[in-house]
Amino acid sequence: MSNYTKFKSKLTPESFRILSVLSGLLILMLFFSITSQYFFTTNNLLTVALQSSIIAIIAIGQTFVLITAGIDLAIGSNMALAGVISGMLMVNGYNVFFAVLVGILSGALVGFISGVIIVKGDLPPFVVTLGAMSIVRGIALVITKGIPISGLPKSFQVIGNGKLLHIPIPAIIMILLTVIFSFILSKTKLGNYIYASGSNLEATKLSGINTNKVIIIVYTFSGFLAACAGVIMASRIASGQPSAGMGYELFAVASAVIGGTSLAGGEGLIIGTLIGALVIGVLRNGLNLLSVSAFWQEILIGVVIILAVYADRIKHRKK
Amino acid sequence: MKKLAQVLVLILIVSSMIGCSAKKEGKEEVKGDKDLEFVLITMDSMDEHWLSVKAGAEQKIAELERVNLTFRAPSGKVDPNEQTRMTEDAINQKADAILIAPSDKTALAPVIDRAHDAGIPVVIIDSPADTENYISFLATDNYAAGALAADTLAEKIGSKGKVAIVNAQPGSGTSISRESGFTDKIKESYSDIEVVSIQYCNGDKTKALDQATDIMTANPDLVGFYGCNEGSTVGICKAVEEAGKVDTISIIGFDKSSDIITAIENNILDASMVQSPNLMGYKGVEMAYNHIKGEEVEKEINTGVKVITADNVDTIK
Repeated sequence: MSNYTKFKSKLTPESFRILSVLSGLLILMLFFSITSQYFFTTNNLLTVALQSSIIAIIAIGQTFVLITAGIDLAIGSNMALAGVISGMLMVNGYNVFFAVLVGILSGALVGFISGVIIVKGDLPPFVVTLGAMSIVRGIALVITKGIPISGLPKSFQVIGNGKLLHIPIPAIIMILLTVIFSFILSKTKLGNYIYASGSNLEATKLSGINTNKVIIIVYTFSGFLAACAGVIMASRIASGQPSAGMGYELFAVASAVIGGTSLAGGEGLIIGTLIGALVIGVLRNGLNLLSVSAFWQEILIGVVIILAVYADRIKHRKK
Repeated sequence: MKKLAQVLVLILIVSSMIGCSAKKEGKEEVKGDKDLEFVLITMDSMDEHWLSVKAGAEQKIAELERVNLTFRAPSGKVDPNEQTRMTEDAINQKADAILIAPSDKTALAPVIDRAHDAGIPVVIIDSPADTENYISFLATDNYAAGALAADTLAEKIGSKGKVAIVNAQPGSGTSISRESGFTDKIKESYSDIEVVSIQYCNGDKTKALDQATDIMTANPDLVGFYGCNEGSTVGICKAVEEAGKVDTISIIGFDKSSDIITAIENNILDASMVQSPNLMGYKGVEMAYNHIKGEEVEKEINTGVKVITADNVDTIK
């Protein structure tokens, strides 16, 4: 026991949290490896990475927003808008690279505008992004007249379905974005300001930091990442769906909280969120492999979300 | 403010005058000197199926004199509460007929009864409602279509092996009929076929893709898939294509869209069960109109299903 306490005291609270989420993930993986002969195979593990990538990417953005004690409910709509804008440009003969770029920028722009409205109007993020969710979904429906954009070019489908050294490209994008945004949050001044704004907004403001700018940046990040995920999604099914991504913002919240992000703001790590998204991905994949009924899957995922946050809360109380 | 009000009143007067003069040109008079107002309420406003119902209804409206059609649908996902609200609005504005595709058979029954009590004829399209207070019900016999899908898949796989189902919304009457029509037929006629998994994707193609991938991982010897709507079918096709199992797995799907037609042309999808949503809309308006004119109308109409394959896909496009 004394060894354990010594070990524990060496760890920062953050790394302890990451370690506990990671052990949760490993226990799940061990469980599925024992119960299904198909789980622990290279092919299936790569499939899990592919299946988790979309949720993981949007969850990175949601983590940034949650750390500032906000929430982004427009993520799912942003995914749809980016998918249909890129799709429409492509079927109208524009270069794939250009189309994807415009799609992704559309998401960043929506995030930017939401951020500006939140700080300039002094409005709750919940309300502003709830409005944005509806407006952006509406725009996606209006510009497509509700009809999916199909017949997207083969070169575009590579983003979602291609492989590089046997690793699915969406998984590679997921890892790249995790590294980049983890660096921004942990190693830069901006990262410090983001944590500070979430812990105590007034104090941060008084210390001379432009918190408005910080808030606008996190919503822009979230919009940008949602749009990246939306483009990958459109590419995987070779179709821009105006109905895509409905409810995904909540999967993003779930991944972040499983990974140790606090809804009260000021706490959270990108690597934790990545592991949180993998927990959900492994759970879905494993339960599918065991042919567990779709109805039970919903219940089990809900239980895991509550248990993860509860375990975290107990630790806090002990402190 | 006052000026604005004056302008508005002026616009109202002018537009009603234009309206009146336009009305006088109508040939066939049905009910006094007022146009008939029909309201069509579908499950959502995005799926090509509902756009096709709407197109069929509009086609019939264009053939009739002095009948107007208003189209309403929940903007996002299937939402019976929103449909109830829309039906109440139609009752309050004294529509002459309501055509509705109930997304929940029990939830919509009370409001259909209220429309009936208000003297408004109701035509039910596509999915049933738990009430007798309608003049006509036009739908695909989804149970029979599910059984036909089972026969079609059995033929492709030589009546034996493991198959799996990806369905749309659990709880929707249409989804249940398509699934039980299929599974009952398998149980009854094909003892060597085993249904190893049934998943629900809620029409989300990415979700269907992930589910179908996992089912193939868990069952490497799977020989067949059945997708119960457009979204699940497209998702399954993508998964089978990605897994490189197009030659070993037969797929029977449901509905028609450009993605489904492409999948059939590329020999990934073996067959798709296609309803006639256009006919539902067209006939639905016709039934409502005939009823108002005082003619007898059929209470139950099966609009049928076609099986499209690589052989006849050109004729159906």
